[in-house]
Amino acid sequence: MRVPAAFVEGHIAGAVNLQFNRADLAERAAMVLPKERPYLMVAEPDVIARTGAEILSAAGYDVGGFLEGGMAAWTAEGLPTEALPAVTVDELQNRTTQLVVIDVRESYEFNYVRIPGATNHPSTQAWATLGSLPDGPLAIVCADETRSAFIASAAASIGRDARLVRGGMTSWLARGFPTEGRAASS
Amino acid sequence: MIFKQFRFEPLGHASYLIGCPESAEATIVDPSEDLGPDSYILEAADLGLTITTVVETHIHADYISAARSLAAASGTQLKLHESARVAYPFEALSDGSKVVIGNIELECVHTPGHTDEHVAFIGRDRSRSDEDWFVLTGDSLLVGDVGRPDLSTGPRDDAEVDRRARLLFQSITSRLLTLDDHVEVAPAHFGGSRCGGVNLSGKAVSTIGFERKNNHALRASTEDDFVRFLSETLRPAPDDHERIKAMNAGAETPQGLHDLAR
Repeated sequence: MRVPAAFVEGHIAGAVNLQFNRADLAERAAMVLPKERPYLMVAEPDVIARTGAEILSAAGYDVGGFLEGGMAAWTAEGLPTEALPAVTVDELQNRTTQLVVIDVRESYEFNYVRIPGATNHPSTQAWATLGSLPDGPLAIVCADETRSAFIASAAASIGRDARLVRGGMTSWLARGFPTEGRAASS
Repeated sequence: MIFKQFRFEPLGHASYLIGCPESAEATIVDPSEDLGPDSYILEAADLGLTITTVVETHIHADYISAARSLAAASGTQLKLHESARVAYPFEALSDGSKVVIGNIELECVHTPGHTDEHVAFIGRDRSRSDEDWFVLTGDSLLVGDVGRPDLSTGPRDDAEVDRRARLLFQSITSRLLTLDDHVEVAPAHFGGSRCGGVNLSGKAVSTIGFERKNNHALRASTEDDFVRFLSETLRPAPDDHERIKAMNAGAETPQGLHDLAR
Protein backbone atom coordinates (compact mmCIF):
# COMPACT_ATOMS: atom_id res chain seq x y z
CA MET A 1 0.00 0.00 0.00
CA ARG A 2 3.01 2.26 -0.42
CA VAL A 3 3.05 4.95 -3.10
CA PRO A 4 3.85 3.53 -6.58
CA ALA A 5 7.19 5.38 -6.74
CA ALA A 6 8.40 3.48 -3.65
CA PHE A 7 6.92 0.17 -4.86
CA VAL A 8 8.75 0.53 -8.21
CA GLU A 9 12.08 0.82 -6.37
CA GLY A 10 11.66 -2.38 -4.40
CA HIS A 11 9.00 -4.66 -2.95
CA ILE A 12 8.60 -8.21 -1.68
CA ALA A 13 8.44 -10.64 -4.61
CA GLY A 14 4.84 -11.38 -5.58
CA ALA A 15 3.39 -8.32 -3.82
CA VAL A 16 0.62 -6.33 -5.49
CA ASN A 17 0.41 -2.57 -5.09
CA LEU A 18 -2.98 -1.26 -3.98
CA GLN A 19 -2.88 2.42 -3.08
CA PHE A 20 -3.94 3.26 0.48
CA ASN A 21 -6.89 5.58 1.09
CA ARG A 22 -9.23 5.40 4.08
CA ALA A 23 -12.23 6.66 2.12
CA ASP A 24 -12.41 4.03 -0.60
CA LEU A 25 -9.84 1.30 0.10
CA ALA A 26 -12.55 -1.29 0.87
CA GLU A 27 -14.53 -0.29 -2.22
CA ARG A 28 -11.51 -0.47 -4.55
CA ALA A 29 -10.37 -3.75 -3.00
CA ALA A 30 -13.85 -5.22 -3.63
CA MET A 31 -13.44 -4.40 -7.33
CA VAL A 32 -9.98 -5.84 -7.78
CA LEU A 33 -8.85 -8.20 -4.98
CA PRO A 34 -10.13 -11.80 -4.77
CA LYS A 35 -11.37 -12.73 -1.29
CA GLU A 36 -10.27 -16.37 -1.41
CA ARG A 37 -6.61 -15.69 -0.63
CA PRO A 38 -4.93 -14.35 2.55
CA TYR A 39 -3.21 -10.95 2.63
CA LEU A 40 -0.42 -9.27 4.54
CA MET A 41 -0.17 -5.47 4.50
CA VAL A 42 3.04 -3.57 3.74
CA ALA A 43 3.16 0.22 4.16
CA GLU A 44 5.18 2.88 5.94
CA PRO A 45 4.89 4.13 8.60
CA ASP A 46 3.19 1.31 10.54
CA VAL A 47 0.02 3.31 11.19
CA ILE A 48 -0.86 3.15 7.48
CA ALA A 49 -0.34 -0.63 7.29
CA ARG A 50 -2.30 -1.15 10.53
CA THR A 51 -5.16 1.04 9.33
CA GLY A 52 -5.21 -0.70 5.93
CA ALA A 53 -5.32 -4.11 7.65
CA GLU A 54 -8.24 -2.96 9.81
CA ILE A 55 -10.18 -1.63 6.81
CA LEU A 56 -9.72 -4.81 4.74
CA SER A 57 -10.48 -7.11 7.70
CA ALA A 58 -13.70 -5.18 8.32
CA ALA A 59 -14.53 -5.61 4.62
CA GLY A 60 -14.31 -9.38 4.99
CA TYR A 61 -10.77 -10.05 3.74
CA ASP A 62 -8.50 -12.62 5.36
CA VAL A 63 -5.75 -10.31 6.61
CA GLY A 64 -2.89 -11.92 8.50
CA GLY A 65 -1.58 -8.59 9.79
CA PHE A 66 1.05 -6.14 8.63
CA LEU A 67 4.82 -6.08 8.25
CA GLU A 68 6.11 -4.22 11.30
CA GLY A 69 8.68 -1.60 10.36
CA GLY A 70 7.73 -1.90 6.68
CA MET A 71 10.25 -2.39 3.88
CA ALA A 72 12.99 -0.72 5.95
CA ALA A 73 12.76 -3.60 8.47
CA TRP A 74 12.65 -6.13 5.61
CA THR A 75 15.79 -4.84 3.91
CA ALA A 76 17.57 -4.38 7.27
CA GLU A 77 17.28 -8.17 7.65
CA GLY A 78 19.05 -8.54 4.32
CA LEU A 79 15.94 -10.06 2.73
CA PRO A 80 15.58 -9.81 -1.07
CA THR A 81 13.40 -7.29 -2.89
CA GLU A 82 12.20 -7.01 -6.44
CA ALA A 83 11.84 -3.89 -8.56
CA LEU A 84 8.78 -3.22 -10.71
CA PRO A 85 10.02 -2.40 -14.20
CA ALA A 86 8.96 1.05 -15.35
CA VAL A 87 9.05 3.06 -18.56
CA THR A 88 8.90 6.84 -18.98
CA VAL A 89 6.46 8.41 -21.43
CA ASP A 90 9.45 9.60 -23.49
CA GLU A 91 10.79 6.05 -23.78
CA LEU A 92 7.33 4.85 -24.71
CA GLN A 93 6.92 7.56 -27.35
CA ASN A 94 10.36 6.82 -28.84
CA ARG A 95 9.49 3.11 -28.89
CA THR A 96 13.02 2.23 -27.84
CA THR A 97 11.46 -1.07 -26.74
CA GLN A 98 8.49 -2.70 -28.45
CA LEU A 99 5.75 -2.71 -25.83
CA VAL A 100 2.05 -3.49 -25.99
CA VAL A 101 0.27 -0.53 -24.36
CA ILE A 102 -2.46 -1.64 -21.94
CA ASP A 103 -4.66 1.20 -20.70
CA VAL A 104 -6.33 0.17 -17.44
CA ARG A 105 -8.64 3.18 -17.03
CA GLU A 106 -12.40 2.82 -17.45
CA SER A 107 -13.81 2.77 -20.98
CA TYR A 108 -15.24 6.30 -20.78
CA GLU A 109 -11.78 7.68 -19.98
CA PHE A 110 -10.20 5.52 -22.68
CA ASN A 111 -12.78 6.68 -25.26
CA TYR A 112 -12.03 10.32 -24.49
CA VAL A 113 -8.26 10.29 -24.89
CA ARG A 114 -5.64 7.53 -25.17
CA ILE A 115 -2.20 6.64 -26.47
CA PRO A 116 -2.48 5.60 -30.16
CA GLY A 117 -2.75 1.82 -30.48
CA ALA A 118 -3.49 1.23 -26.78
CA THR A 119 -5.78 -1.62 -25.69
CA ASN A 120 -8.34 -1.09 -22.93
CA HIS A 121 -8.38 -3.50 -19.96
CA PRO A 122 -10.21 -1.63 -17.15
CA SER A 123 -8.61 -2.25 -13.77
CA THR A 124 -12.00 -3.05 -12.25
CA GLN A 125 -12.09 -6.30 -14.24
CA ALA A 126 -8.41 -6.94 -13.77
CA TRP A 127 -8.13 -10.08 -11.75
CA ALA A 128 -10.56 -11.95 -13.97
CA THR A 129 -8.86 -10.77 -17.16
CA LEU A 130 -5.19 -10.99 -16.11
CA GLY A 131 -4.88 -14.27 -17.98
CA SER A 132 -6.22 -12.75 -21.20
CA LEU A 133 -3.72 -9.90 -21.51
CA PRO A 134 -2.02 -9.87 -24.94
CA ASP A 135 1.34 -11.61 -25.42
CA GLY A 136 4.64 -9.75 -25.35
CA PRO A 137 6.10 -7.20 -22.98
CA LEU A 138 3.40 -4.84 -21.67
CA ALA A 139 3.35 -1.12 -20.81
CA ILE A 140 0.58 -0.48 -18.26
CA VAL A 141 -0.89 3.03 -18.16
CA CYS A 142 -3.68 4.81 -16.25
CA ALA A 143 -4.35 8.48 -15.47
CA ASP A 144 -1.48 8.66 -12.98
CA GLU A 145 0.08 5.55 -11.43
CA THR A 146 -2.52 4.28 -8.99
CA ARG A 147 -4.46 1.77 -11.08
CA SER A 148 -1.51 0.99 -13.38
CA ALA A 149 0.73 0.08 -10.43
CA PHE A 150 -1.92 -2.34 -9.23
CA ILE A 151 -2.29 -4.06 -12.62
CA ALA A 152 1.43 -4.02 -13.43
CA SER A 153 2.24 -5.58 -10.07
CA ALA A 154 -0.57 -8.14 -10.38
CA ALA A 155 0.61 -9.08 -13.89
CA ALA A 156 4.23 -9.28 -12.68
CA SER A 157 3.11 -11.53 -9.80
CA ILE A 158 1.91 -14.13 -12.36
CA GLY A 159 5.19 -13.90 -14.27
CA ARG A 160 4.34 -11.35 -16.99
CA ASP A 161 6.80 -8.74 -18.26
CA ALA A 162 4.68 -5.70 -17.33
CA ARG A 163 6.10 -2.19 -17.02
CA LEU A 164 4.57 0.75 -15.25
CA VAL A 165 4.24 3.90 -17.39
CA ARG A 166 5.57 6.59 -15.03
CA GLY A 167 3.25 9.57 -14.60
CA GLY A 168 0.53 7.94 -16.75
CA MET A 169 -1.69 9.86 -19.18
CA THR A 170 -1.08 13.04 -17.18
CA SER A 171 2.59 12.95 -18.20
CA TRP A 172 1.82 11.80 -21.75
CA LEU A 173 -0.56 14.75 -22.27
CA ALA A 174 1.78 17.21 -20.53
CA ARG A 175 4.52 16.27 -23.04
CA GLY A 176 2.11 16.97 -25.91
CA PHE A 177 2.48 13.49 -27.43
CA PRO A 178 -0.07 12.31 -30.02
CA THR A 179 -3.39 10.88 -28.88
CA GLU A 180 -6.48 9.12 -30.20
CA GLY A 181 -10.08 9.43 -29.04
CA ARG A 182 -12.94 11.93 -28.76
CA ALA A 183 -10.73 14.68 -27.32
CA ALA A 184 -8.52 14.58 -30.43
CA SER A 185 -11.45 14.77 -32.88
CA SER A 186 -13.44 17.51 -31.16
CA MET B 1 -0.91 21.44 -5.73
CA ILE B 2 -2.60 20.25 -2.58
CA PHE B 3 -3.13 22.76 0.21
CA LYS B 4 -4.89 21.49 3.30
CA GLN B 5 -5.48 23.41 6.48
CA PHE B 6 -5.91 21.35 9.66
CA ARG B 7 -7.77 23.23 12.35
CA PHE B 8 -7.82 22.36 16.01
CA GLU B 9 -10.70 24.53 17.16
CA PRO B 10 -10.29 24.35 20.97
CA LEU B 11 -6.91 26.12 20.70
CA GLY B 12 -7.60 28.07 17.50
CA HIS B 13 -4.55 26.42 15.95
CA ALA B 14 -4.00 25.84 12.22
CA SER B 15 -1.40 23.52 10.71
CA TYR B 16 -0.87 22.74 7.04
CA LEU B 17 -0.20 20.00 4.54
CA ILE B 18 1.36 21.31 1.33
CA GLY B 19 1.73 18.64 -1.32
CA CYS B 20 2.68 18.05 -4.94
CA PRO B 21 0.58 15.31 -6.59
CA GLU B 22 3.16 14.87 -9.36
CA SER B 23 6.08 14.08 -7.07
CA ALA B 24 3.69 12.51 -4.49
CA GLU B 25 5.47 14.41 -1.71
CA ALA B 26 4.18 16.58 1.10
CA THR B 27 5.46 18.84 3.82
CA ILE B 28 3.67 19.45 7.11
CA VAL B 29 3.87 22.90 8.70
CA ASP B 30 3.40 23.44 12.47
CA PRO B 31 1.84 20.03 13.37
CA SER B 32 0.32 19.60 16.84
CA GLU B 33 0.09 16.72 19.30
CA ASP B 34 -3.58 17.58 19.81
CA LEU B 35 -4.20 16.09 16.36
CA GLY B 36 -1.24 13.72 16.69
CA PRO B 37 1.35 12.60 14.12
CA ASP B 38 -0.83 9.72 12.87
CA SER B 39 -3.55 12.06 11.67
CA TYR B 40 -1.08 13.90 9.41
CA ILE B 41 0.45 10.63 8.17
CA LEU B 42 -2.95 9.10 7.33
CA GLU B 43 -4.22 12.28 5.72
CA ALA B 44 -1.12 12.46 3.50
CA ALA B 45 -1.52 8.76 2.63
CA ASP B 46 -5.19 9.36 1.72
CA LEU B 47 -3.96 11.95 -0.75
CA GLY B 48 -1.36 9.54 -2.17
CA LEU B 49 1.47 11.63 -0.70
CA THR B 50 4.50 10.77 1.39
CA ILE B 51 5.67 13.24 4.03
CA THR B 52 9.21 14.24 3.07
CA THR B 53 9.65 17.38 5.18
CA VAL B 54 8.36 18.78 8.46
CA VAL B 55 8.81 22.49 9.17
CA GLU B 56 7.85 24.87 11.94
CA THR B 57 7.42 28.62 11.71
CA HIS B 58 8.78 28.93 15.27
CA ILE B 59 8.97 27.19 18.66
CA HIS B 60 5.40 27.36 19.93
CA ALA B 61 4.33 28.32 23.43
CA ASP B 62 0.61 27.58 23.30
CA TYR B 63 0.33 23.96 22.15
CA ILE B 64 2.49 20.86 22.17
CA SER B 65 4.23 20.47 18.85
CA ALA B 66 4.20 17.15 16.96
CA ALA B 67 7.04 18.27 14.69
CA ARG B 68 9.66 15.98 16.20
CA SER B 69 7.42 12.92 16.57
CA LEU B 70 6.08 13.36 13.03
CA ALA B 71 9.55 13.84 11.54
CA ALA B 72 10.75 10.68 13.35
CA ALA B 73 7.74 8.61 12.24
CA SER B 74 8.17 9.83 8.65
CA GLY B 75 11.91 9.22 8.61
CA THR B 76 12.63 12.86 7.80
CA GLN B 77 14.26 15.75 9.63
CA LEU B 78 12.63 18.81 11.09
CA LYS B 79 13.53 22.20 9.60
CA LEU B 80 13.68 25.35 11.72
CA HIS B 81 15.27 28.76 11.37
CA GLU B 82 19.00 28.68 12.09
CA SER B 83 18.55 30.90 15.17
CA ALA B 84 16.25 28.38 16.96
CA ARG B 85 17.57 27.49 20.42
CA VAL B 86 16.52 23.89 20.96
CA ALA B 87 18.01 20.80 22.59
CA TYR B 88 17.61 18.49 19.56
CA PRO B 89 19.11 18.36 16.06
CA PHE B 90 17.33 20.07 13.16
CA GLU B 91 18.01 21.20 9.61
CA ALA B 92 18.73 24.93 9.61
CA LEU B 93 16.82 27.30 7.35
CA SER B 94 17.97 30.85 6.71
CA ASP B 95 16.28 33.84 5.15
CA GLY B 96 15.75 33.00 1.46
CA SER B 97 16.13 29.20 1.89
CA LYS B 98 13.68 27.21 -0.19
CA VAL B 99 11.81 24.11 0.89
CA VAL B 100 11.02 22.28 -2.35
CA ILE B 101 8.18 19.75 -2.60
CA GLY B 102 7.96 18.68 -6.26
CA ASN B 103 6.54 21.67 -8.13
CA ILE B 104 5.94 23.60 -4.93
CA GLU B 105 8.42 26.01 -3.43
CA LEU B 106 8.20 27.49 0.08
CA GLU B 107 10.57 30.41 0.49
CA CYS B 108 11.66 31.06 4.06
CA VAL B 109 11.34 34.68 5.20
CA HIS B 110 12.86 35.48 8.57
CA THR B 111 10.13 37.42 10.44
CA PRO B 112 11.23 37.84 14.07
CA GLY B 113 8.89 39.46 16.59
CA HIS B 114 6.54 36.89 18.11
CA THR B 115 9.81 34.98 18.67
CA ASP B 116 13.34 35.59 17.42
CA GLU B 117 13.49 32.43 15.30
CA HIS B 118 10.13 33.06 13.64
CA VAL B 119 9.86 32.54 9.88
CA ALA B 120 7.08 32.82 7.32
CA PHE B 121 6.96 30.78 4.11
CA ILE B 122 6.00 32.30 0.76
CA GLY B 123 4.35 29.59 -1.34
CA ARG B 124 4.53 29.16 -5.11
CA ASP B 125 3.29 26.42 -7.44
CA ARG B 126 5.77 26.50 -10.31
CA SER B 127 3.59 24.20 -12.41
CA ARG B 128 1.19 27.16 -12.67
CA SER B 129 3.25 30.31 -12.17
CA ASP B 130 6.40 31.69 -10.57
CA GLU B 131 4.24 34.28 -8.80
CA ASP B 132 3.76 34.28 -5.03
CA TRP B 133 0.44 32.55 -4.28
CA PHE B 134 0.17 32.31 -0.50
CA VAL B 135 2.15 32.97 2.63
CA LEU B 136 2.20 30.80 5.75
CA THR B 137 2.57 33.52 8.35
CA GLY B 138 2.77 31.47 11.57
CA ASP B 139 2.27 33.93 14.46
CA SER B 140 3.44 37.09 12.67
CA LEU B 141 0.57 38.48 10.59
CA LEU B 142 -2.76 36.97 11.65
CA VAL B 143 -6.27 37.54 10.29
CA GLY B 144 -7.40 40.84 11.82
CA ASP B 145 -4.49 40.84 14.25
CA VAL B 146 -0.79 40.12 14.84
CA GLY B 147 1.06 37.62 17.04
CA ARG B 148 1.70 38.63 20.64
CA PRO B 149 5.25 39.72 21.47
CA ASP B 150 5.42 38.71 25.14
CA LEU B 151 5.30 34.92 25.53
CA SER B 152 8.15 33.03 27.20
CA THR B 153 9.99 36.05 28.48
CA GLY B 154 9.76 34.84 32.05
CA PRO B 155 8.07 37.36 34.34
CA ARG B 156 6.70 40.21 32.25
CA ASP B 157 9.66 42.12 30.89
CA ASP B 158 8.60 45.41 29.30
CA ALA B 159 11.92 46.04 27.58
CA GLU B 160 11.77 42.61 25.93
CA VAL B 161 8.15 43.10 24.86
CA ASP B 162 9.13 46.47 23.38
CA ARG B 163 12.09 44.96 21.51
CA ARG B 164 9.98 42.14 20.07
CA ALA B 165 7.05 44.38 19.16
CA ARG B 166 9.44 46.59 17.15
CA LEU B 167 10.87 43.54 15.36
CA LEU B 168 7.30 42.34 14.64
CA PHE B 169 6.37 45.71 13.13
CA GLN B 170 9.43 45.64 10.86
CA SER B 171 8.87 42.00 9.87
CA ILE B 172 5.23 42.59 8.97
CA THR B 173 5.58 45.94 7.22
CA SER B 174 8.84 45.35 5.37
CA ARG B 175 8.64 41.60 4.62
CA LEU B 176 4.95 40.62 4.43
CA LEU B 177 2.87 43.67 3.50
CA THR B 178 5.27 44.21 0.57
CA LEU B 179 3.79 41.09 -1.09
CA ASP B 180 1.09 41.47 -3.78
CA ASP B 181 -2.52 42.09 -2.72
CA HIS B 182 -3.77 38.73 -3.98
CA VAL B 183 -1.32 36.67 -1.89
CA GLU B 184 -3.31 34.52 0.55
CA VAL B 185 -2.49 34.73 4.25
CA ALA B 186 -2.54 31.36 6.03
CA PRO B 187 -1.71 31.86 9.73
CA ALA B 188 -1.03 29.42 12.58
CA HIS B 189 -3.83 30.90 14.69
CA PHE B 190 -7.41 32.08 14.51
CA GLY B 191 -10.46 32.53 16.71
CA GLY B 192 -9.90 32.01 20.42
CA SER B 193 -6.16 31.36 20.18
CA ARG B 194 -4.11 32.66 23.06
CA CYS B 195 -1.33 33.69 20.67
CA GLY B 196 -3.23 36.57 19.13
CA GLY B 197 -4.65 39.83 20.42
CA VAL B 198 -8.08 41.41 20.86
CA ASN B 199 -9.09 41.45 17.18
CA LEU B 200 -8.18 37.96 16.02
CA SER B 201 -10.75 36.78 13.46
CA GLY B 202 -12.51 33.41 13.56
CA LYS B 203 -11.75 33.17 9.84
CA ALA B 204 -8.49 31.33 9.32
CA VAL B 205 -7.52 32.66 5.86
CA SER B 206 -7.25 36.13 4.34
CA THR B 207 -5.20 38.02 1.76
CA ILE B 208 -2.34 40.50 2.04
CA GLY B 209 -4.47 43.19 0.36
CA PHE B 210 -7.39 42.74 2.77
CA GLU B 211 -5.16 42.75 5.86
CA ARG B 212 -3.16 45.76 4.67
CA LYS B 213 -6.45 47.64 4.45
CA ASN B 214 -8.40 46.25 7.42
CA ASN B 215 -6.06 44.75 10.04
CA HIS B 216 -6.70 46.75 13.19
CA ALA B 217 -3.20 46.35 14.67
CA LEU B 218 -1.71 47.72 11.45
CA ARG B 219 -3.74 50.92 11.52
CA ALA B 220 -0.97 52.31 13.72
CA SER B 221 0.77 54.90 11.57
CA THR B 222 4.20 54.52 13.17
CA GLU B 223 6.27 51.85 14.84
CA ASP B 224 5.83 53.64 18.19
CA ASP B 225 2.03 53.65 17.80
CA PHE B 226 2.08 49.96 16.95
CA VAL B 227 4.23 49.11 19.99
CA ARG B 228 1.95 51.19 22.25
CA PHE B 229 -1.18 49.54 20.85
CA LEU B 230 0.23 46.04 21.40
CA SER B 231 1.48 46.62 24.93
CA GLU B 232 -1.73 48.36 26.02
CA THR B 233 -3.98 45.62 24.67
CA LEU B 234 -1.93 42.59 25.78
CA ARG B 235 -4.04 39.91 27.36
CA PRO B 236 -2.65 38.15 30.42
CA ALA B 237 -0.24 35.43 29.29
CA PRO B 238 -1.53 31.87 29.63
CA ASP B 239 0.03 30.42 32.79
CA ASP B 240 1.46 27.25 31.20
CA HIS B 241 3.23 28.89 28.24
CA GLU B 242 6.74 28.60 29.75
CA ARG B 243 6.29 24.89 30.38
CA ILE B 244 4.88 24.23 26.87
CA LYS B 245 7.63 26.24 25.20
CA ALA B 246 10.27 24.36 27.22
CA MET B 247 8.80 21.01 26.12
CA ASN B 248 8.72 22.12 22.49
CA ALA B 249 12.36 23.20 22.68
CA GLY B 250 13.34 19.84 24.16
CA ALA B 251 14.28 21.41 27.51
CA GLU B 252 13.29 19.70 30.75
CA THR B 253 12.08 22.83 32.51
CA PRO B 254 11.48 26.54 31.86
CA GLN B 255 14.90 27.13 33.49
CA GLY B 256 16.40 24.74 30.94
CA LEU B 257 14.75 26.81 28.22
CA HIS B 258 16.38 29.99 29.49
CA ASP B 259 19.74 28.20 29.63
CA LEU B 260 19.31 27.20 25.96
CA ALA B 261 18.66 30.80 25.04
CA ARG B 262 21.97 31.94 26.50
